[in-house]
Amino acid sequence: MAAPVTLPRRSKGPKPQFFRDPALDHLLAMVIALTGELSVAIERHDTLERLLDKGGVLKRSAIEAFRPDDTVETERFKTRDDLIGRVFHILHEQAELAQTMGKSTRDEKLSYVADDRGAVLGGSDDPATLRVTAAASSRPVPAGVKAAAKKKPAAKKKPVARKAAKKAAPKRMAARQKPAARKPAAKKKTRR
Amino acid sequence: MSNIPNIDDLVESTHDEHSRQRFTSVLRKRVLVDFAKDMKTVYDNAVEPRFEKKNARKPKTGNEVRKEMLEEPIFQEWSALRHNAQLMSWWTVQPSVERKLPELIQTAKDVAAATPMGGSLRLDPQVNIPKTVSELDVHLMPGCFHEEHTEDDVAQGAVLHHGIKVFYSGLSHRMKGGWAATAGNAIRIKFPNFKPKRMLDMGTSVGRELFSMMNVFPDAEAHAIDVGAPMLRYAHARAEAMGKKVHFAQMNAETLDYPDNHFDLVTSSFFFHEISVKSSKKILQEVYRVLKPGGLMINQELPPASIVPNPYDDFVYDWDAYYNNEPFYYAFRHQDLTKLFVDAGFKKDKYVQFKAPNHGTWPDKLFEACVRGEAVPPEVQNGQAWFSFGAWK
Repeated sequence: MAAPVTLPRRSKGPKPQFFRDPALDHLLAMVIALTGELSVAIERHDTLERLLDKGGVLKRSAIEAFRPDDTVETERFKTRDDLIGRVFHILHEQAELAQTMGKSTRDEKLSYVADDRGAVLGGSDDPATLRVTAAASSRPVPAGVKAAAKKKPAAKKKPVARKAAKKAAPKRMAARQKPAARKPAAKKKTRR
Repeated sequence: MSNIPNIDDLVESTHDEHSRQRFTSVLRKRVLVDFAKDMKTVYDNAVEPRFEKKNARKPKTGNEVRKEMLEEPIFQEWSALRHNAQLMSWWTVQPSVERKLPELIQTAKDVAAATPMGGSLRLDPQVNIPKTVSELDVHLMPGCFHEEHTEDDVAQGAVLHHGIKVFYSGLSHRMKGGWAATAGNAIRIKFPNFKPKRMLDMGTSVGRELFSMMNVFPDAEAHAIDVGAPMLRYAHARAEAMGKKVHFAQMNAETLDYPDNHFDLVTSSFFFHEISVKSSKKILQEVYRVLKPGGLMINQELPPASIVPNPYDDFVYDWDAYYNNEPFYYAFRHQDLTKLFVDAGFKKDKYVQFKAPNHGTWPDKLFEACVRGEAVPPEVQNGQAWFSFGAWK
């Protein structure tokens, strides 16, 4: 029999950025995943307590008094480790993207979509906001980001960062390594 | 009738996987219903007044609303929740599919060999997979409709089938009816003399809407196409287990290999927004060719901007165009649909479009009244009602 198949988890295509700072998008992804895992844990707990209570196996005080031994601890280590893997999946995704850009058959080849998207959205009543250029194709840029970037001369360097990023890593990552690129996000407070 | 199991029943989730799926369904309900209301409240009370103050008028288009909303924290947070819930619809079923994949594949192969209902499966490894499918994962489903991870793979079909259940099941009305049941019954009421003998479903994926349409027109010989082999293998296995005889073929709808004047009914659901307008035109020309005179093409989509009276709703409908790997949605929703059909050869007065309430969740009398134009159907949003459009040849 063939080796077990692992299906891809990363969706190929532009990853939207909803917040000025992409780290906030990542953080929210973590919070959402974490809430899901918490819900799972609560449900499992609930199942257990109901079954045990129904079977007259134990009372709540016994749960309070429980202390794990080494074997249980080893098992729980893996459970927690898997949990963290799921909650902080966004980090792994960045690594996968950085590693496979230009090599894997699942690489992002956005030329066609980017062109079409530009053409598609360019016809709208506010091209300045809606047009997604080939260079910025990996996500629609919120209007606020553009406005903030225009005010900062430092932001003019962005295309350079993009060119370099295209080769090795997604530009989102490259931009984050450049302190200048973070400034628009930091301005948010004063603007609001 | 055979001892081949139903491929739908093979995937089993663990206790925790089930919890994870249920959480995702409920999260989606929250986002699409409760938080959507909250976001509208913020818009009504803060965003629209702000726009009015600046411009001395209310927003006229979805784009104007969008420009204002991009800056709103609630839109950013709502979008992040919606985006992640979409991804989780697929992620929460993938592990159970991975575990059972060898069995799923074997079952699909057994069905294809036995075909107890007499359906068929025609695959074409040389099929032209459009870039719109191959360059990005539509609906954010990793692997899209076509990727094959192993020989005779059905994984993407299984992920779509089980993921869709997670996707919809927070909205209880989405578990009944659906577009094809709605449009099929509407057609039956509106055009009682229309009795299709042969029909084709395009972009059928795992056959969800096709099987409902077959329930409305059980005497029609059913054909279905898709570019994704894993979809078709899975759909064929489902069909045979559900007692449905369907002839599946892997084909790009731009170049149909059926003869002229062949079908009485051609259908599609959530299909045209996933392809470019250019491609729509080619496909409709092909559909016109394969339709018999007097035949009908009918499709489902979100309502076009032209019939959405409220710019805010238009803005919400366009969300997928920007964030759900459906870059053609915008162009689709903002074009003249009548012209699209006329350009492909259909006559202008043969174009049809209608809105009808989801069949099965509204009283039959209301459904019929809406179909006859004597009552106004509910809003299309979240599957309360469906928008259909097409043309007679």
